[in-house]
Amino acid sequence: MNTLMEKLNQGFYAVSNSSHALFIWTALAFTLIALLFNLGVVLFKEKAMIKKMAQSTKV
Amino acid sequence: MNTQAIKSLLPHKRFKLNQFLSLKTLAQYAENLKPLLIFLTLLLFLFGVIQGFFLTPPDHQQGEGFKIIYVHVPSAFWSLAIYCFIFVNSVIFLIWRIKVADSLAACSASVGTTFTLIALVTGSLWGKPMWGTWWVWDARLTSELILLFLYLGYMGLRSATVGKKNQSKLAAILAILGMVDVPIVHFSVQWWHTLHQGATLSRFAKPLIATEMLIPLLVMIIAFGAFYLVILSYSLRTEMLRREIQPRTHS
Repeated sequence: MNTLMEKLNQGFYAVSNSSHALFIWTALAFTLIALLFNLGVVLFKEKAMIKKMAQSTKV
Repeated sequence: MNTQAIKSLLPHKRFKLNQFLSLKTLAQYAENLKPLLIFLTLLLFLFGVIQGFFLTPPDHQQGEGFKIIYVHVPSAFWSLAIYCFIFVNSVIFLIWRIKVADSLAACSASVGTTFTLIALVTGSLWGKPMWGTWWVWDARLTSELILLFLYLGYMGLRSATVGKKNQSKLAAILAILGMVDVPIVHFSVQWWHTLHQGATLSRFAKPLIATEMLIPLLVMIIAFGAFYLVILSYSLRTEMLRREIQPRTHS
């Protein structure tokens, strides 16, 4: 476990201190934001449709 | 998961393939599998990101910068695969008028667009330190950009024709015409001299990447695929509800 944490620490510092750090972090952050945004839109659409369905059955 | 648990996920005791022709049944299956898919997606992403970004050694030429591959290649791969899926479903819809095929195509478009955008942006972020430029009008990059416009056009057409009788038909025709771009994206690096490197993974050749770098890449490809299925399961339910509200608006 300790060895794994040490390796992770080393890997994290290697990425953070490399000359390409900004590009790597931006790429990773953009990917996560885009995926979460997509999920958010889909969830929002589902909620809106459920609301619409409830309204249509009321009428 | 044992056989009993898998059986309990299924809405019908007798398993028949043609029940997937019903959107309701398909959405029900997707709904039952959703928790498993979400768990799988999170697990694979966590493993892939940790293993790929922090535990793999740097590339001997590109240094740490090559690690963008772990988000760039899976998104690019799925952007093409999802378009192929939309194409197949559009063909099925046009020939046999199976509504589920149209629903599957419609529900896949948004995630395909997201993956294409990720592939373009991360590619640009990778290109700047390696090529010295954010963008070149290179065959691979340009054809991938056209793919993004095709996805946007497909979604735009669908939303512009909501409630129209021939919405599904028009969307299917556009998807089929747009399929021309997919082989161009894939083979552009072979057909023309491009700045973009050749394929890292091939079905027939030995991978050009070391095994310790390959495993997290494959895991990330599966993780992106699992994410696609999660989005599909949510979208199918929304589509099913939409069709229940507006049953007469479909061609």
